[in-house]
Amino acid sequence: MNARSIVWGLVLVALSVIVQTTLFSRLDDLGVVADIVMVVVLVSARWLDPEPALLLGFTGGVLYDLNGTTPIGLRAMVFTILAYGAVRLATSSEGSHVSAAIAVVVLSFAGVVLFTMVGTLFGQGSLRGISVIQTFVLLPIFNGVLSIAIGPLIKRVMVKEKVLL
Amino acid sequence: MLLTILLVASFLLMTFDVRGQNSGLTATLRTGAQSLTAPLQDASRAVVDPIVDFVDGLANLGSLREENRRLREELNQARLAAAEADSLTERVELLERLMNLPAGDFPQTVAEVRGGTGPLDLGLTINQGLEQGVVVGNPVVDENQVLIGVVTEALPNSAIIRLITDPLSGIQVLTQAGELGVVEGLGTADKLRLTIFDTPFDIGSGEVLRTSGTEAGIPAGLVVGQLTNDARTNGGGIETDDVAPLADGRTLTVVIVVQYGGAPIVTGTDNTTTTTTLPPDDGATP
Repeated sequence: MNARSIVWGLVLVALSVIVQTTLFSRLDDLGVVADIVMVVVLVSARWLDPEPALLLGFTGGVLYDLNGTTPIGLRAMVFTILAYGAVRLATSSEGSHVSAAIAVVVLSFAGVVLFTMVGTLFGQGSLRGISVIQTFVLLPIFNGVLSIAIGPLIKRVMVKEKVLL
Repeated sequence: MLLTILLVASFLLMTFDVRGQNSGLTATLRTGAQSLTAPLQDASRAVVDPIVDFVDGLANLGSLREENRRLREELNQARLAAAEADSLTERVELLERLMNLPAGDFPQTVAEVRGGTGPLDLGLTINQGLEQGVVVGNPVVDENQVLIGVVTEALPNSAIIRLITDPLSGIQVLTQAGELGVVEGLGTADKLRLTIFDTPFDIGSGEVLRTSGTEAGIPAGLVVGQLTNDARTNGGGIETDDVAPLADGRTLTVVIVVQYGGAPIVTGTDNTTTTTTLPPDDGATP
């Protein structure tokens, strides 16, 4: 296990929470913005061993929850499951950036659905919003595009660290 | 095995958080995390805001001239309305004195918006909290006294606001005919749902809905939204999604927390705390 890759993953997730709550919160002209924290978790998980990937998803989710209005643990649960999915997809297909982006789109869609379902059980009102379909469709696409943009950077950071050690 | 442990941990955290209702371990965790991220968010905003404003300005350059002309026309109309409002203000003050009501003076705390809370929940984080007198339930308005949300979580030096556009938000409002209704969020920035049970009155397009003052913590008279189409009663009541919020909370950088009905835990001399008078309920569009 590469400890420095895990640390880099955590740093990237923490930074993405800051970026999400500041920059991305001002870029919602279409009513939906990409979820950069989700993207970072999904992309980083591909370059980690299964256990660290799960811990990264959990930690990122908790950190995100702590800065939001959702119950603490909601995103932690969703991101943990997404990280598991990302690890499984990464091991079953060593693909290109495009296939990685498609995996991000699929997993993001699963993440939004899971978030909405579990959130509704815990009193969140996402399912009642009329923009829920818009979110279901646009957020995964935005996440896929974002993953193409930042995926190589994350890979470079994570893999470079692997090589260095 | 680890997956199961983490999922169970997540489930327990959610349960504690929901059951704890802003107290206990989860509240302490939230406080600690926000104390750590707040300086980073402030620094990030200091970099991000000028860039986003610059890009916004470039993107809107073509429409600025038309916007300028429209604003001049609105200014002229507003001057006329202000003159009419002066006489109404005097009348309201007279009525308030006659009815021995408080004149609507509430302490208000100006707060900077630190950021949003993510794409899947409509909220804002602000840089004022319990130590500045902000408590859960306080209404939050913009500079025009338009309601944008309610404080749902108050931490020592920060707070989280649930916007009125959040599907979980429900605000009791009064129409100009005095009918009591509820305005709920729909999850979008440009629409709200108005529900009025058992009313014989239609509501005309352009009517401004204001808080009723019938729920704890929220004073009467705060502007919530405006009808964009006529809403006709079906004999039993009215339900319409043609209500536009008059402020977009997501774009604000500064908000005002109205400290009404909640006792602050710690009070002190804070130069951001002021006392201002809410506008008279004259039905005029702000």
